[in-house]
Amino acid sequence: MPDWREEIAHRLRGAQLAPADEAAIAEELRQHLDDRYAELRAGGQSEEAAKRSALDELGEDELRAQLSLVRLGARVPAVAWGSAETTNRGERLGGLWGDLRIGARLLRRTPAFTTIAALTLALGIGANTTIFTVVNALLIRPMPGISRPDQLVLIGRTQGGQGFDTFSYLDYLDYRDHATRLSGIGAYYGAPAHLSTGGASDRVRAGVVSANYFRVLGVTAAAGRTFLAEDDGAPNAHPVVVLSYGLWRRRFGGDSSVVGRRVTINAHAYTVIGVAAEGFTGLERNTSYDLFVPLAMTGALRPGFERALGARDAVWLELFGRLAQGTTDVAAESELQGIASQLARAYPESNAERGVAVVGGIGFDPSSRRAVQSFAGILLGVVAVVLLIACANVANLLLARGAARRQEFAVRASLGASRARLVRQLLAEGVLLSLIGGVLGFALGVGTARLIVRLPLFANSLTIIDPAPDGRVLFFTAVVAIASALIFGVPSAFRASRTELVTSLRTGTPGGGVRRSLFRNGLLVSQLALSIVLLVAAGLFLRTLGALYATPPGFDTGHVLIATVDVALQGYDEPRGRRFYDELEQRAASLPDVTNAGLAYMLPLGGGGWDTRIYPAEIAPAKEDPGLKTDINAVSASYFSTVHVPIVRGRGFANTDRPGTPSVAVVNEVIARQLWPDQDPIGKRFRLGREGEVLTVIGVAQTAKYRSLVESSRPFFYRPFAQVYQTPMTLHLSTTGDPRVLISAVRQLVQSLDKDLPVYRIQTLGDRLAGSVSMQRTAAILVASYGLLALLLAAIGLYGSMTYVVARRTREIGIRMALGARTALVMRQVLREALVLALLGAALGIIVAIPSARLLRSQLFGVEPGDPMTFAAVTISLVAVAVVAAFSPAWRATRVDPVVALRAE
Amino acid sequence: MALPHTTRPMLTDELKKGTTAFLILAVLEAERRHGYELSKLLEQRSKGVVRVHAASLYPLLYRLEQEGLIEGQWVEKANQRRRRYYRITSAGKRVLQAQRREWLDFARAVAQLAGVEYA
Repeated sequence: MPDWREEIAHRLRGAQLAPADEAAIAEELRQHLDDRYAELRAGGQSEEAAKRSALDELGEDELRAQLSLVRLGARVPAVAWGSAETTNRGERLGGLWGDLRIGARLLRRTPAFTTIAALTLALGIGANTTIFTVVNALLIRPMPGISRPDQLVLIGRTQGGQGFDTFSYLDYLDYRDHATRLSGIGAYYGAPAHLSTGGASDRVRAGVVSANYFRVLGVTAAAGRTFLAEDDGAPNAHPVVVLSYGLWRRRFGGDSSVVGRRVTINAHAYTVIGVAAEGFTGLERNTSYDLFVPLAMTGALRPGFERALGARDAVWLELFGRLAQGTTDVAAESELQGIASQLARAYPESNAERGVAVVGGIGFDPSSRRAVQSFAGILLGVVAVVLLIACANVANLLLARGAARRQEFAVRASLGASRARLVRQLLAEGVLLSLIGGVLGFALGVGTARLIVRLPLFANSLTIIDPAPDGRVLFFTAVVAIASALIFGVPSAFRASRTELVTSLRTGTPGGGVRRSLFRNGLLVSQLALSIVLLVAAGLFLRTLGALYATPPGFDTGHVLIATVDVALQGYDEPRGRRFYDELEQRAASLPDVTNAGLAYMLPLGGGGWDTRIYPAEIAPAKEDPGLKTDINAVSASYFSTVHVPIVRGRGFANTDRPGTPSVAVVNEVIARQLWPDQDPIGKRFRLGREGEVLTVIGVAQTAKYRSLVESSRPFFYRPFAQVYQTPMTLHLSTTGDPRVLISAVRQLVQSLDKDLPVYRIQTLGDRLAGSVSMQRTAAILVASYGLLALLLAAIGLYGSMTYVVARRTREIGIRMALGARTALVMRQVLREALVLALLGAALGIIVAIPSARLLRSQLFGVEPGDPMTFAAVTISLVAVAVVAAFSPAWRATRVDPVVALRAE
Repeated sequence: MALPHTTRPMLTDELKKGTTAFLILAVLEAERRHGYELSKLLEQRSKGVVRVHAASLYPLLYRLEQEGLIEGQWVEKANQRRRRYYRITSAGKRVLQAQRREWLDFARAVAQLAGVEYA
């Protein structure tokens, strides 16, 4: 018997069967050949002839083709006469299931391809999941504890048809009592408060609410009860409080015997009547309340505020309502508008021009909602671009793979597989890839969301953004994964299935090469272009951040600690408050490491300010003169030296500037220049408002940044705290070393002065500065990270593509090298191809980036959307990255051995 | 025994590619067989019309087994080398029944259309 082993091994080589399968098939083939050989010998053939016939019958090419079907896990073809097109639905689904099974087998056999494609998709899908998780928590997820939020509306006051503002208490009562299209209208406002229980004192946020607040929102009590109508009756008659669930757990350990207990709020005793439903912290997403007290307690909470309960001109209440069954917000608005007109006629002095606007949905007032939506929109756009780039990458990988599988498709097509069938098979593989990418992306995205909520913008906001995924996040991820399967899968499936059967089978060389590479290069160019768009956005945000950091705030941010104490909330009157603040300042100044201590009413860079209009006192203002709109601060004498605001003319405040002495002011350079151009402002006088107090200028302070770093120079003046009492005042301490080490000393100091006074906002001025640019910092971090991710993906795409090009041209390159082309030339050719693609991508990217960057204008500072530096830097880095990505394939091209290359095909 | 040079037409590739699996199942329905037996039986019973090369047969058997239509088993008999015998599975029987029906429908339809008297 001849030994067939070598012949069989030769034929099985390259079949890539599992070793056990290969051994089994080899043994069967050996037996078959033995049997056949014996038969031929019995028929009278010579040993040599019998051996040759047996082997010839085995057929080398046919065996290879059949084995490749085995390897690819192709299904046994349906019988040729079976009408595949008329099979019923069940069988079609079975076919799809089969496609998925085969796809899974194929993906397992090419682990490198599968890993790269799935990871690429995971990065793209994960980025979308991350941002959606945050957007979901900010805008979409229903707020906890509130029932049927879809029926709730926000009600805003318009003035001359504009705005969305607060209402007076008396107006609120009229709307509440006369509206029929709303089943209830509630009112509230938020106020800081001091809560003291059992020796501990905290600053908390109180929701001061109408009696029907909880009923209209449909919020139940987790313990005890919520408010009844009688709780909100006569002013200050019912000191009762409902705790938020969070505060109840935090401060009272979730003890249900808290109901009925007495607590102290702003130095008044209250009775706890209940705990609100778990998770409920009010109906605004950007504010959360720790406890709720009735509106009637306003006077006790904020001495002096009780007047507001009886005045139509004091507008301070936020209104919301629940639509009655079957009404719309439009119908409700027209009804409230009618009531507004009646009120305008009845009380023309306060209510003329006042109207009402109703918007559906709670969580944000309309302008905040627009701001959040536009920020969310930018981020969603950015990650959508990242996903597109990832899809383009995978499409390219699939194309390259499809080219390598052309023989398989040709064989299958010749075995009767229709093109639709091949497309379906390829799509099934795409769906599987996106499924793996989706699962990985979900995990990645949810993990990244946990990091993102720690970014300054989200971490500093009053809302706690819960990054936990929910059904919506899962659904969104699934949709994104399926969409990406379609984006990368459909075009590459149709491309790859378009085989010119005959040529492919006969020669094994690619057909339709030019069109295919055009398509692939098109993908690559668009990918590079999209990265340019993202990188430009990232560059602009980074330049904005750089410009912000380069802006001197005009005061010392490195060595100043601040801490606020609000004595008015604790019921201090002016003399007691003054004594307290003076003593606090003096004793703080003698703390170790403290070089100076000062007090100020307003803090810089908080976005807002205390403003008024001023007029030069020497001349009576013309009737239409609007005066100079300017910001004010009340500061102690040592404030300027504490925060290092230089006095450029005259003097700062002294202890001699006291009540009873002439009222003085230190103005900034802007006021000095605008009110008294080319004159010495020292000794000049100005008036607060048309008929207000007259102040004498004793000094000029250098202009600083007051409300925000991005403001242009703003008029500003200071008054001595000794002459204008304000609360709450903030202690400023300048130190020699790290100001943070003083935090506990400051807390102890305040405790020693009044154990019930909480200290809040303890931070450095540097922290405050950083907080004021948190939005820009967050945008820069996010967009730059995703921009770099996009660039990385594009580089991987380019690398893969050039590697493929080199592999496909091995023969051509080999011939050229054999004909004497030098390695440098070959290398240059590959690099040139990459460079051309990169430049095309950059050009297209710049064309798209110019209008896209304009969309960002409102978020930029110190840089134009068309900033040439940014565009140049981005283009250069992209081209550099492209060359680096193409370098290794180019180098490989020079290593092609002409002999091997020529034999390869 | 050399194969008789036959004037009978062999099945064209087109027809064959769907038919071989059908015929293998049909042969295995009665009795389990090993590969060489199978190829001989197909050839003999079809009077030489159906010839399956080893190159197609073994990969096809492998695939049929992967799809659960047949089941292979190594069997050792006294004084004989071990051989791999294949038997049809219940799933294979169902597919075979279905294919028989389809074949009959198809053959009737062809016979009617082509004016062939159907035996």
